[in-house]
Amino acid sequence: MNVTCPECGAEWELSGVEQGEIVTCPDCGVDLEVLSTNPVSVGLAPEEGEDWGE
Amino acid sequence: MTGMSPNGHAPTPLTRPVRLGVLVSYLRPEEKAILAAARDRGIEVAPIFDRQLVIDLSSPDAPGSGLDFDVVLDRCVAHSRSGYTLRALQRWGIPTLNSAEAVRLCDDKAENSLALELAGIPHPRTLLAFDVASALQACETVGYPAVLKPVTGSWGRLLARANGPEQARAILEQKKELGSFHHAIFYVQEYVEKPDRDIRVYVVADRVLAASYRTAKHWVTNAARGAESIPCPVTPEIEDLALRACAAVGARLAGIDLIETRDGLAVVEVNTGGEFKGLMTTTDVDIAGVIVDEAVSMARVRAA
Repeated sequence: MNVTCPECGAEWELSGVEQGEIVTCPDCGVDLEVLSTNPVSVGLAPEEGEDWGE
Repeated sequence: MTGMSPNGHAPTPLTRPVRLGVLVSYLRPEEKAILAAARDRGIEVAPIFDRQLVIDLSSPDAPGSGLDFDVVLDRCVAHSRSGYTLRALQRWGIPTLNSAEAVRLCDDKAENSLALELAGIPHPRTLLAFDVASALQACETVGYPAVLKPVTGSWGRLLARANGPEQARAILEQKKELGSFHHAIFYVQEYVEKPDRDIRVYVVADRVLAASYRTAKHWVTNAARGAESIPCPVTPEIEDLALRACAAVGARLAGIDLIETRDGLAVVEVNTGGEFKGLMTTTDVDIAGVIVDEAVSMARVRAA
């Protein structure tokens, strides 16, 4: 299923993903979050917080 | 979890699939592998997205907060969110792989250092200061170059190596102006000469699953900063130190970072939310599967 990068408008096919997964736009390299899987849609990934880490 | 339930009744095993909640901020390859391993085992598993939580602190139980699971695995990258959620789960009697206390000790580098030192585990000399002038004194004490780290957060962010007092002052002044009070808690550590690598060891429930070298030309040998993972044999020394480090903070699941010093191995830190994406490429051990099996073994049992 095709998705559109909200940052650069690139379109590409994305499958086998789960909601909440982080993917990278193949054109502009921005991190995107899979918002839904049926249909597949993506949005900008959450911004990293100061206390984020492993 | 085994033994008597809090109300004194003998627990009975679940007659339905275990409900496993995986607390996440988003899904990384590790969480995808964990979800897949759980589904392969017929476990009812669901990600819990931290940003969607509304935790009812006044409630005596978990369902009202959407947290009615038999066991929860914390894979959240937001330390404050995971801390509050784990404490609420603890209150409601829902087991978690790592306790709220273990996560608290690991999510704060100063607490982590104290716990390691208390257990007599080799650890780079570390000082804490709360003012630029006193932090400069701390740098003089550990000697230059000195390493400055934020007490919260990881992935090698905002790490700095100060080669002398002028550089240290500039870094400290900048940190102080960053806005969050956390950045004015100055964690000053001796710089340890080491090969261009460190060692990531993964432990689940008193068992070392695997280890990998993380190699990089940069002094920060962190996978999130592009370090390459290659296999590392688990020697008795690595195993002993990793297990002792886990015990020091009470962690059941952790990635332990070791460095090779002239005097032997030392523990830099224990990460209860340890990533293992790099390690997955260097070992045949099904790390995600072992984590899920351990979670299931801890699952809440209903009182008869």
